[in-house]
Amino acid sequence: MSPLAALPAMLAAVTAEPAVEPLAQAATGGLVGSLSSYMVVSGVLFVLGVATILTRRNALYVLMGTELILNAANINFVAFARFGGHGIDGQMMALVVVMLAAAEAAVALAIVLRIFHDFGSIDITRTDSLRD
Amino acid sequence: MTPELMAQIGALAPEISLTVAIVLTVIADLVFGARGRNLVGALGVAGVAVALWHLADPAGTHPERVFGLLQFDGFARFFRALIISGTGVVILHAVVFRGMENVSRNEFVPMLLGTALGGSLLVSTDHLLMLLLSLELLSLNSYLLAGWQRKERRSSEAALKYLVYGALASAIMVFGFSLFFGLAGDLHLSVIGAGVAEAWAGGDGSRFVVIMATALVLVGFGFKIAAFPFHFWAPDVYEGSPTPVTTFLAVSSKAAGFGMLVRFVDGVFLGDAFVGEWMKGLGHVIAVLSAVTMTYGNVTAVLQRNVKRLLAYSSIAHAGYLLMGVAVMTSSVGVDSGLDALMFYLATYYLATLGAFGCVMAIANRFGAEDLDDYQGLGWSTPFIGAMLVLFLVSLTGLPPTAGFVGKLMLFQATIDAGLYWLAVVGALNAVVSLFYYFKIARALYLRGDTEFVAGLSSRGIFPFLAHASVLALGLATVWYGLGFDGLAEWVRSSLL
Repeated sequence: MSPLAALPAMLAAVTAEPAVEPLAQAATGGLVGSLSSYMVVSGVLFVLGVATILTRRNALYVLMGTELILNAANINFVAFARFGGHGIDGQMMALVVVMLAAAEAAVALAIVLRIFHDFGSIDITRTDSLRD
Repeated sequence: MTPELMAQIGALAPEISLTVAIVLTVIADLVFGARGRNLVGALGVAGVAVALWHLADPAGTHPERVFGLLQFDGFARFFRALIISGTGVVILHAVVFRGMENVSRNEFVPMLLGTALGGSLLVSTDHLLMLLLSLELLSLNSYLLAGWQRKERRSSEAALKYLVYGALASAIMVFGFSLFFGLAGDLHLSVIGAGVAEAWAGGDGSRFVVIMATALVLVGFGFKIAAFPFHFWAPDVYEGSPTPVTTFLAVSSKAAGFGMLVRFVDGVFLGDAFVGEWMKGLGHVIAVLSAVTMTYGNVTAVLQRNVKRLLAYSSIAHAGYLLMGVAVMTSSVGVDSGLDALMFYLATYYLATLGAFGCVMAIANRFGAEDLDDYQGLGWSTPFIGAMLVLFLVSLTGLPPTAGFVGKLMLFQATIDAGLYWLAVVGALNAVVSLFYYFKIARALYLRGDTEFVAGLSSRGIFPFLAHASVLALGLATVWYGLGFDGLAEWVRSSLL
């Protein structure tokens, strides 16, 4: 049997409904796992974002680090809204944060391009014409 | 549309005026291009004037509560007046500023109006979603404005530093918001306050989350008001930005930051449900931050040679004084006493800082001087601007007969009433230190160098005249409120939360 022949079966296994208890699934409307697992993911993302900002000197990496922190917050908003049963406030907030992150990226890229033009580098430790 | 909806839209009249002015200035720029410079400036100033006129509307027919997101109370009106009128003066400055002669000013005006719109919504909202949206409207425009001088490396660098630190601070703040949302399940500040009080009573685990969320949110607020230890962007950004933008950041942006901070602290932490050890702890933290901020700002300012950088450190120090008011708010004597002193002090700071930066810009326009060494004897060459600058510096120091003296007196009085004696002592010592560096500027203006009298204004035209007139008006107001401050104190008292 060729390897390709097994592919449909593998895909079917991957896309199948995850095995969760029907009761838990009904309570959370299809969201699997518990609140604490979402908190763990968002906590890890937050720490990764902060670590990126602290260790990288490239302006684009620093901005990506802030995006990670924003997404960590988004996971929190959506998970709290879903598990807390508080309506759609959390989801709305997450959508707004996504939109703001896009706007911020547009502004950031314009400024970083200018910096590259003026300083020949986007290393944030090289831009030091202003200092005490 | 229902009448209630119309009434709610009517309450937004100042913001709608600003939005209309943004659209009109963009259209004027498209139609007239570089030739329409004065027209765009005039439209911007007119938009601000109309917004202020709507704001002053004494009929009081508008509802306070708008769309469930905005609270247009007296407090919001006070801060909107400061932010919007400050922006109007900055537009006047921007049109005459020599440093921007090679770059387009036509897009500058609508962006500045956009920041004013963001600031004015920011101080009016008690909902986290609206707070975040208006804060970013204020911030994203400010990042771009800081880098407006295209030919100037320092301006690009200021924009980058402001952007990187600002994006980081607001991301951390949003993470803090998400924790508050988790605790309370709602985005309204008052509901969050109840949820936080409940969580505080719930045991050590949830107390830890409350403390962490508060710390994360304070990072974002501390950045916006340039308080220690989130101040480090301020000197570089203030020095590198075009002077009108520096003025905006020191006045309108800082007022918006304090409006947001006060509303948040009041809504979340000072509700009826919240008393006791937690408030005491938070009050101590804010008092210590206040003392460190003012001391750091004042001591570092002594070492500066660039006047804009010196005023940046001075504005950090003043953020420390204003935080004294927040510390008093969280103490046992109650919210009103601290808020009263804070808002009065903010008004005096607004008058003096707006005026001082106007003078610094006039001197830069005329003599190209920004360093203390180049200021020597300039007071004799331009008597009006020199005298006004000294007056504003006297007010910033807090000496009579200026408004700054009354502001400091009320602030120290409130601090002593709250039992924070050590903070009042630190504040008084700081005022002495600030005397030293403010008078370094005055001494450079008058006591050294050659004297060569240059008569008349630097350039003719309606805008240079208006810019000078605004400096004169600010100077008169500084003296007026220093001698008879009842009117201002009355307005502040009627604007408390």
